Amino acid sequence: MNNAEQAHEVRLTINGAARTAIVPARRLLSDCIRHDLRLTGTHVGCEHGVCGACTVLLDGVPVRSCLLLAVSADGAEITTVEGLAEPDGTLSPVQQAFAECHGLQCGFCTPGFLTTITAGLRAVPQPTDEQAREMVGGNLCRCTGYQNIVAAVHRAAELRRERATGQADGAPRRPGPGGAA
Amino acid sequence: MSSLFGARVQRVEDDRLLRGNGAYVDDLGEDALIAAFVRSPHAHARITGIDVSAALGVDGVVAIYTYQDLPERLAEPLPLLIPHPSLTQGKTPYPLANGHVNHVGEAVAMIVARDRYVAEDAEELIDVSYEPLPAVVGIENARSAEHLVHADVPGNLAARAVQEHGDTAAAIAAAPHVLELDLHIERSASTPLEGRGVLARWDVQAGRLHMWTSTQTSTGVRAAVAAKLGLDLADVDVTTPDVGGGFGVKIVHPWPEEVLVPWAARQLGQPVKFTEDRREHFIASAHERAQAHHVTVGYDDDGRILGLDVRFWHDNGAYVPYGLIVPIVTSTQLLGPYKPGAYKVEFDSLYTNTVLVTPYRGAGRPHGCFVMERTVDAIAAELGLDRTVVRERNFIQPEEMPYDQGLIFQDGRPLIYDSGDYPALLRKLKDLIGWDEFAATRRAAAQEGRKLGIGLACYVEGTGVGPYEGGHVVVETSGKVKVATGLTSQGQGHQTVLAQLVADELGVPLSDVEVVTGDTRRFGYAVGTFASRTAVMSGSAVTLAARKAKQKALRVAADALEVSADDLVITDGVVHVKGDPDSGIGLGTVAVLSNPLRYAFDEAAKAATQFAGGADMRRPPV
Repeated sequence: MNNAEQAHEVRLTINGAARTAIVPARRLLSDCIRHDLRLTGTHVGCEHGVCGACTVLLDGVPVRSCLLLAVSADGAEITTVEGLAEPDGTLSPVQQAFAECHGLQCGFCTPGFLTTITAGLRAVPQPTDEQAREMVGGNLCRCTGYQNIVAAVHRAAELRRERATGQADGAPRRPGPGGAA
Repeated sequence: MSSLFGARVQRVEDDRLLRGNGAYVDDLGEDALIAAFVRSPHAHARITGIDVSAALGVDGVVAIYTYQDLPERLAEPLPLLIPHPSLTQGKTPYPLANGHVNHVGEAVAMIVARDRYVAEDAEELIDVSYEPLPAVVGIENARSAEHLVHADVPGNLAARAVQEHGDTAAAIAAAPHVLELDLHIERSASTPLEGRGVLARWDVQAGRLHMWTSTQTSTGVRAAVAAKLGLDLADVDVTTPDVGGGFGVKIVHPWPEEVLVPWAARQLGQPVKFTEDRREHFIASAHERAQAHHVTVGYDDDGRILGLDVRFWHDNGAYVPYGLIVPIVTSTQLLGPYKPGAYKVEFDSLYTNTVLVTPYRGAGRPHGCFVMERTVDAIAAELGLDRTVVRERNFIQPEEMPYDQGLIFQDGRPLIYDSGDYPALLRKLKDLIGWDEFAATRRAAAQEGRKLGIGLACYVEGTGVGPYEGGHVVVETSGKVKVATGLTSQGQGHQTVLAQLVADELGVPLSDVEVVTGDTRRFGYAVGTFASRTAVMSGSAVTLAARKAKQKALRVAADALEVSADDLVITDGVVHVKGDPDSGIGLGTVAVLSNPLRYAFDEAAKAATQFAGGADMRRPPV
């Protein structure tokens, strides 16, 4: 216990960039992302896999980063909430849908919903209402209730289709209020 | 100009929150040492010894503190924030347990270490010896008082309060019908998705403290921490960054961690941070709402309530730092839109060996509403009357407004309803939900194999409580408008709503208004965010501040343009003569004119120089 812990090198591709962290074997992936790599958009709400706030995409699949050790993710490609927007800074369809549908209040649970739904819509691009609810069934929100979040799932599906076909209703694509990242 | 008041706009908060650019306490202070706490595993115990020697040897541990280490003011119990005449036995916790623990989760020792992992290693090595005592859990056990939570508090009774309007006993005795009901509401945890968090930096050179805390009142924390650490208010800054939900638990202050973390930062000369984990939140952060109620109601053949007697028992947990707000709110909001002939309410606030109970999402109102509405439904069932008919017959009528309920509310003022048309509301509600057609709806559903039920409840809520909030509005020389108010935000969208008000009042685009809340550096006086009070209190304050700023801008611009201020308006951030939008000057230039520096440091200042001197050379330019 009094000896310094053995450190391990973890190589990750995170939001498209190669990153390396030197961490003890017991370091949670969530802590590695937040504190070693300083990507604090991923939030920790329960640290036992219940709330879903810490969800990131690991090789495209949503995982609870609080239930994984950073060393076990060595070599993986990870997407966090910071990596969801388009390269030009435009909000992703899911992010845009949350803004339009008032799918967030305090914003603490939001990153987990955004990553979960991003993966969910890749698997089920046109969800029924039941599928939309199932998609967010593993994430907790304490502020809004879930009606607007489910509405945002449907709106995001719509935005994805519109963007896939180029332009919606002939309207030009509008960059997000934040401009280029 | 179209009004932004009440308009649907996209929240200005959302862009950063959706990109992962929010800043909650744990996102800050990457250089900080981490505090963690040894917490009691016992509901009630005497501490017979604490041995920290093994833990001190853990690599990365910087300091370990127990009660014995605390200086004078920190060694006293934390403040009782809201005293009340009936709260005769108000107990508050010590920052670290002083010989006794009174609930599971009570902080016993604080470890400061390189990171949380190391701190928890040390936590396991701290040996606390406990002598367990009988625990008092639940309202029944608290009432029976076979065992006591605090040895010097007889009957586990923190407070007993009574309010009465009319002669309730006589009214019930004379009533044709009397019903008695026992109604219970459960205990649960507050559980914002972000737990509590505190970060403190002590500036050694300046002798000043800056702390960031996940609170509903940065000014309250500031005052409490300054008092506990013996600092002047001017030497303490408290910033409330993004907060991941409050729900009442974060209006309690100062939490033990909120005084211990800044104290440790000063002791160690290094920033220190505490981030509550979920397990800690369940055992060490306030719970809410366990109450038991006994109702005796006397009523006539028409269902009119002649006398209502409500006796209830409130489980306040081991301590009452936030006073009696919850049971007082229950006792006064219980009547809702109704006017019983007489009303008596009496409550006991009881100690149990559980974590303390605070206002939470409704703060006693759901309890009162539940009790009243169940009572009205029971009367309807007994008399075989429609539930809406019994409600209508007991409503305060519009012509009776303003209506004095004859009670003293939680803010110490008489409970007077200013307005309302409850019969009209009920008619509207019945139409909306198809109340009168429900029997047919139910029959039709039954034929499809579906069982339908219907219920309704009526409710009046006292919100927007005082005593005050303030607002500060500054027009930058860029033309941007900076607004500050002291209360905090936990997701309500204050940055959007307050900006809408100021943009309307000043005549500037919404995107030019930036609102800061909960930062004592920007606004040092405030109460806090609770009871749906921000739009009323801070909304009014920033509106009035913007109005004053506008008057000043018009006066300055009138001087510069050599016209009467009465002839000027502001449109899209430009002050101009009515009907002549091309004649004007930008608000940024007006800002320069109001504080003339004689230096053309930017375009607005350059423009301002053309007005320098004005007409009268004996007077200053503005």
